[in-house]
Amino acid sequence: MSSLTLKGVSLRVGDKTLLGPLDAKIQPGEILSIAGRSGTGKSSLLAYLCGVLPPAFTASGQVLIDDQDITAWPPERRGLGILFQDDLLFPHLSVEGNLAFGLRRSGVPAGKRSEAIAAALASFGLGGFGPRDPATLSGGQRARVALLRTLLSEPKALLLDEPFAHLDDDTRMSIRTVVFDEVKRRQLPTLLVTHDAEDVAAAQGPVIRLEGLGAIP
Amino acid sequence: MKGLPIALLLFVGVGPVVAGFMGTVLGGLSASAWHELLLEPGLPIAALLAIGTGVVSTLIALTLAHVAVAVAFSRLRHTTLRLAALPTLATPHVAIAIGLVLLLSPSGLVLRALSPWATGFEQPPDWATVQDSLGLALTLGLIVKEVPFLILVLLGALSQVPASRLVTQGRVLGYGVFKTWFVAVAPLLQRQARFATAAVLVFGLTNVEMSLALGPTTPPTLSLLVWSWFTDANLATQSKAYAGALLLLLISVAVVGLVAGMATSVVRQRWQAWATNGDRVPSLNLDGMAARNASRVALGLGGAALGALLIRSVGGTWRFPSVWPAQLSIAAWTQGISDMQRAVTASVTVGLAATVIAIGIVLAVAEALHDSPLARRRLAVLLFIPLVIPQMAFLFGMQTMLLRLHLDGTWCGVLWSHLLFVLPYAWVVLAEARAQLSPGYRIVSRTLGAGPVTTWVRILLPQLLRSILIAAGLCFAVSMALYLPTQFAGGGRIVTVTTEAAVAMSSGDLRSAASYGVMQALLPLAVFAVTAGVSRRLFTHRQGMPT
Repeated sequence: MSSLTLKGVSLRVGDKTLLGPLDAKIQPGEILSIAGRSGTGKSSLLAYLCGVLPPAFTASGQVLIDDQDITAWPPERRGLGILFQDDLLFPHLSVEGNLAFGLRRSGVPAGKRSEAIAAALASFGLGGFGPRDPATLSGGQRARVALLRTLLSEPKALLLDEPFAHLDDDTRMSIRTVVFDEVKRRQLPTLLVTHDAEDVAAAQGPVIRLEGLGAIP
Repeated sequence: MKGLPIALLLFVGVGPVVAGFMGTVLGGLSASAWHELLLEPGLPIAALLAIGTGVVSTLIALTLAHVAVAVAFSRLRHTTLRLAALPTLATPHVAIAIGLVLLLSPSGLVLRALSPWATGFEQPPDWATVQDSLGLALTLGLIVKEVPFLILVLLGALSQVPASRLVTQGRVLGYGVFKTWFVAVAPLLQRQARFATAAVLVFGLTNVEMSLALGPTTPPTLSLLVWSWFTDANLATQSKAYAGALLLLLISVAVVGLVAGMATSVVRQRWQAWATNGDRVPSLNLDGMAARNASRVALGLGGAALGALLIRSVGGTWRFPSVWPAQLSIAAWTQGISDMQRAVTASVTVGLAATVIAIGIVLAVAEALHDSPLARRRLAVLLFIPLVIPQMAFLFGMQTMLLRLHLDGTWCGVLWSHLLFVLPYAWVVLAEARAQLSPGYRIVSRTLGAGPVTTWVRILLPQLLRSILIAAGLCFAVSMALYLPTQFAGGGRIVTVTTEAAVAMSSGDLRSAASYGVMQALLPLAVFAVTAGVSRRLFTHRQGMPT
């Protein structure tokens, strides 16, 4: 069980402050919601946390997982999982291929990977979906595969970038429940970025509201 | 790290153009050279011929391409149109020109088919059906070659435009499909195709390879005149050639500016009045229009030229007015087999090397600039320069540069000169394909634990494979067609099927010219067939792949 800490994080474009300074400590299993209209730098904050902030921005502050400062680490070492509003399943790989890309080498022996993936799929109500082309899945199924892919990479913390925005009403509720249940079950510190009040309410955690600068070109 | 591929691209793809252009300017900046140039007796006519054939062929080709695309869209026949355009697109200018000579000359297939029953001719008439003094055959040749190119450019632009929804909207308002098309869709396509249109216009004004076979001779077009001065051993004539190349550049800039200006004032006013007059029925019906049939004829002539090349290359004795040779003979293929082998080897090795290098450099740069649209646009403008200025304006100077680097007349020198023209096409296909991949793929892959190299190889590259195959076919075809760059950089020591075809054509050996022409068409078509075949077998069970 780990925690995710932001210390004095602020983002700037040129000499304008876009966001921050932001201080927060997210406990295991807790969901911190960051709410605000578009253009307030929510997605840029997630890009900064992942370590892929575009060069047009400058950032200061620190990001810690437990007591480990990961601010300067490359994205692949940070141990963060991220879900976007697009599921971003890799279109050239099967469902199983996508999950295998996420599944870490450690933990599961080489000969058992396929089995482990099949079991994970079944636990998400997607038994037998391994060989399928992701393009043939429904929106809800794709969202679940994307979540599963992230979880199989054993993240220490989860970032959610409006992950339910593209889903239709019925699916949105069920996927939200699945994601939040997994967060609690695995005790993942989670940062949710959204402009949807229902998401914020369902997260049942602390909330930070961003005002921002207005529209950023 | 990021700067390295960009620096390499600029050095390889832009450097020689700048250096070559400076060299041409220095060589042409002499009062005596301009004095001699302007005293040249045929100069005004040569310039008028260049402008006339270039402008008329471009306007007609553009109209026909738009009509063909509109008709194909209204009948959901994009794929058919693309396939119909491909053979002529892949075939180099020189081969198309030779094929048209075989069709249209007084002893050509068209008159043979009509003689003697319709014309009464037992002997070929003494007509100037090709190399006519007005440049009509040259204009036709340019149209036949450029219509397929413009069609494919417009079809490519179609994916960037919500054409179906726009047309539906127009039809709901009570307009016919064609009026809607030319009011709402065609202007958007033309906006995307403006660079390509300028390139076609400049090529029409300044080409050498088509004028050689089809153009008038006394005087020839300005570009051919300048080219003949350059190949003259006399030094004084050479400086006249440098001045002539600069004159070609001035004329090109002026004509492109003038045509663009006229298009934005006259055409737009007329178009706006027509677009806003509220006239719904019948307003525009392409189904019965001559333009539609003309675009079919243009595409058909390209195919017929290829057929003529094939027949002539295996025709033995062939008396007028027989439509079919009296006997078939592979003599043209076997007699010059060692020359042919040498030329094919040079063409294929240069073409493949240029293709691989261009795709490699462009992929690296596209990766570095995938999130900088402004930098991509600026770079594209630089890369397109060789396509929108006359080739001779920088090739004269570039030859001097290659001479200093001891690369003139070498395989590497020819390769470099080809890269200048291959790189922009690789860029057009691949830079956009890379930029259109969602940035999220990279972020997801990295957070899942993959490093930058693994992410590129396993996640991004597979999604780019189809575009890479398309770029490969295009790059190889472009390299295969290059005539002047090969001549300048190869200095006659490196010969390709394209330069050999032109030599055979100039010496009047039509049968040998036809066999080189067939080879010119065959090689790029074979590469297209391979890349299309591989592309079809890739990811057959993955519907979500970018196409």
